[in-house]
Amino acid sequence: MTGVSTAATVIATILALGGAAALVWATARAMRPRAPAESFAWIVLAGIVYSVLGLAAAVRSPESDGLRASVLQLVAVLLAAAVGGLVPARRAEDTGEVSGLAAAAVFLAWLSLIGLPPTVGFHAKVLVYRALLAADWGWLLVIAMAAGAAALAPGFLTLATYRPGAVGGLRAVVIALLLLAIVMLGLYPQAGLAAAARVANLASGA
Amino acid sequence: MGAFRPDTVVLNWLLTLPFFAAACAGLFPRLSLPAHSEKEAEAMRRGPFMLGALASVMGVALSVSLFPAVFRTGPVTADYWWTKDLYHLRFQADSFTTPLAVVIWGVGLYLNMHLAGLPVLSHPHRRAALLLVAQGGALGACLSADLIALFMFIGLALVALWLLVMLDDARAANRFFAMTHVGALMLLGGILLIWLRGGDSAVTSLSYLLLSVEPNALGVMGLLVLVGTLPMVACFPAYGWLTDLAEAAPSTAMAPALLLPAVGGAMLLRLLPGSMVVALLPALAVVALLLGIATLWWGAIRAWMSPGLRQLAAWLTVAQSGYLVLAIGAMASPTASSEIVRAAALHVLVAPLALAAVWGAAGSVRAEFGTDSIADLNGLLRKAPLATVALFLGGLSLAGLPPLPGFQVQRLLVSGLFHDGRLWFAVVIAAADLLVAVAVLDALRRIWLGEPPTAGRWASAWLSGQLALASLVLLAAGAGSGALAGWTEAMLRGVFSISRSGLVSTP
Repeated sequence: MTGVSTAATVIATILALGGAAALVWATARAMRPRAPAESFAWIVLAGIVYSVLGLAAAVRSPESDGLRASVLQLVAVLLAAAVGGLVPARRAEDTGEVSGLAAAAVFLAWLSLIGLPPTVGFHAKVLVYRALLAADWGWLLVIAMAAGAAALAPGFLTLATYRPGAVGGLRAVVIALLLLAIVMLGLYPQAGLAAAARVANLASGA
Repeated sequence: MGAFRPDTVVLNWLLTLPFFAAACAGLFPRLSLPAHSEKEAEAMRRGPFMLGALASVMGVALSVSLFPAVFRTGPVTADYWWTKDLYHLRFQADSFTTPLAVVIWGVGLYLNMHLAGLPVLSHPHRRAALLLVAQGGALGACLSADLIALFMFIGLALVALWLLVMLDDARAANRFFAMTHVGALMLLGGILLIWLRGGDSAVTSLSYLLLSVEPNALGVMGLLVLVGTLPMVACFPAYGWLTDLAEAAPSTAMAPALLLPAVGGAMLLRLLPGSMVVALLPALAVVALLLGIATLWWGAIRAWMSPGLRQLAAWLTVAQSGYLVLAIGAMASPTASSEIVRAAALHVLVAPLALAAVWGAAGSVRAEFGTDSIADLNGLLRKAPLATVALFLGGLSLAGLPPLPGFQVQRLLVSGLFHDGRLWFAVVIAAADLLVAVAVLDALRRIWLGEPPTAGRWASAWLSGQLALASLVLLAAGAGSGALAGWTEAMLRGVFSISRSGLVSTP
C-alpha cells in the first residue's frame, strides 16, 4: 500500500463499502427469489460485485494483484451468465426427460458462480480473496466468504426445483463450448490468468 | 521436473487413474448391450462398480510400487506447470502419504465392492464415476505439496461426494455440503494467510513461517486450519452431517465417512504440527484438547445408546475423530513426546480400516435382513457370521484392544501423554476406550444371541467378500503391529519432510 494517493484510498474505500453492501443485498435477494431463474440472476450480479471488490483491492494496493483477479472473476461470471442465459426453462409442452447437457450446464454454471472446482470460478474467487487479504481488508474478506457460503442456499434451491428445457442444434453446440471453457480454464488456469494479466496491464497502462 | 525417475512415472499414472476410470464408467452404458434377462441386467448393473474396483486395485498396486523408492531414497516429487507465477500442481509421495494413498485406494475398493453387493441402486454408473472422482480428490489432497492444489482437490472430493449422496437424499446431501463447504472456506482463509505471509504456496515453505510471522498471525492461521477441518473429520460440534447421512442415505454415507476423516486428519497433521507448531499456540492447543475430549466422549456415549448398527457406525466415526483432535492438542506441550505425533499419524492410517469394517457390517446386515435396528436383530452369529466378525474386529480396533492395529495407536497416545506427565488425559482416553468397547460389545451381545431371525432376503458374494477383506486386513495389520509401531518412525520423517520444523524431537 506504499505510494498510494489519498484519492486512490478514498476511491478504494468507496468501492469496497459499496461492493460489500451490494454483495450482501444481491445475495439476500437471491435467497428469496420469485422464480429459480431470478436467484441465478442475483448471484450473477453478486459475481460482478466480487470483480468490483478485486478492483477496489487493486486501487488500494497495486501489489495485491487485484486487477488480474477482477478480470478473471469477470470472465468467470460472463461465461456462467452466458450458459445460464442460453438454457431455456422447461415449457409445459416439453414432455421428455430433462436434457443431460442442459442439466450439466445449469449445474456447472452454479458451481463456477459459487467458486467451486473444477471450474474457472474457483481460481477467480481464490484470487479475489487473496487480493482482499493482500490489501489488508480482512473484514471485507469475511463478508465476501460469508456471501460465497450463503450463495449455496439459492444454488441448492435452484438445483432442486429448476427443470431446464430441451436444447438442440447450434444452441447446444455453443453451450457445450462454453462449458468446455469453464472446465478447461478451471483445470488449466494459466490461459485465463495470462489473458487476465494482459487485460489488466492494458487497463493500468503498464 | 528434475531427473527422470521411474517412480515419478508411477506417481503420474496414479494421479491420472481415477479420472480415466471415471470417464470409462461414464462411457460404459453406451458400449453395453441390452440385457436379455434379469440375471444379465443384474450382472451389468455391477459393471461400473467392478470397473471402479479394478481401478482401485491398480491404484493399490501402483502405490505399493512407490514404497521401495520412498523408503530407500526419500520423497518422490512431481511438479507440473499449472500457473506461471501463482501456484503449481506439486505432488509428493513420502513415507506418510504413500501408505495413505494405499489406504484411500483400499477404501475405494471396499466401497465399490459394497455398492456392487447392494440390492437395486439407482444410477450405478453415476455412483461409480462420482466415487472415483471423490477418491481422486482425496488422493490428490493427500499427495499435494501445494496449498491451493490441496484445497482444490478437497473441493473436488466434496463436490463429488455431495453429488453421490444426492442420488439418495438431497436434503442430507445439501446439509453435508453446506457444513463442509463453510469449513473449507475457513480453511481457505488459513491457507491464504499462510500463502501471503510465507510468500509461497508450496507446503515446503511452511517451515519458514515460524521465523517470519508474529505469534498472533500464526494463531489465526492455526485456528482457521483447525476449525475449518472440524466438519471434514466429523468432530464436535460439526459432526451433524454424518449422523444425518447415516439416517437418510445409509448406502452412500459410508463414502464420506471413510474418505473425509482420512483426508482431514492427514491435512491437520501436515499443516499444524510441523509448520505452525501448536506448541507456540497454547490457546489453540486448549481448544483442540477440549474439542477432542468432547468429541471422543460424546461419540462413545451416543454409540452406546445407538438404536441401530448404522448409527453405531456413525457415532464411532465421530468418536475416532476425537482421538485425532485430542492428539493434535496434546502436541502443544513443550515437553510433548514424539509418540503423540506418531500415534496421530498411525491413527489416520488405521482408523479408516476399522471404520470400514463397522460400516460394511452395518450395510451388509441392512441389505440382507432389511433392517439394522438392534432391537429387531438377534442370532446374527449363526446367520451372518462375517458381519458379526467384521463388527467385532472393527469396533474393538477403534477401542484400542490388542491384537488389533488400533491398539498401537492407543498405546502410543497413552504412553506419550503419560511420559509428558499428563496422567489425567491418559486416564480420560483409557476410560473412553473402555466405553467404546462396551458400546460395541453391548450391540454385539444383543444381535449375537438368541434364535436366528427369519432367512435373509438378500445374499451377495460381494458383501461377503468385502467383510472378509476388512476382517483379514485388520487381523493382518494387528499381527504386524510391531512393524507398524516401527513404521511410525518413518512416517514421522515423512510428515516432517514436508513441514520441517524440527520442534518435535524424534527419539
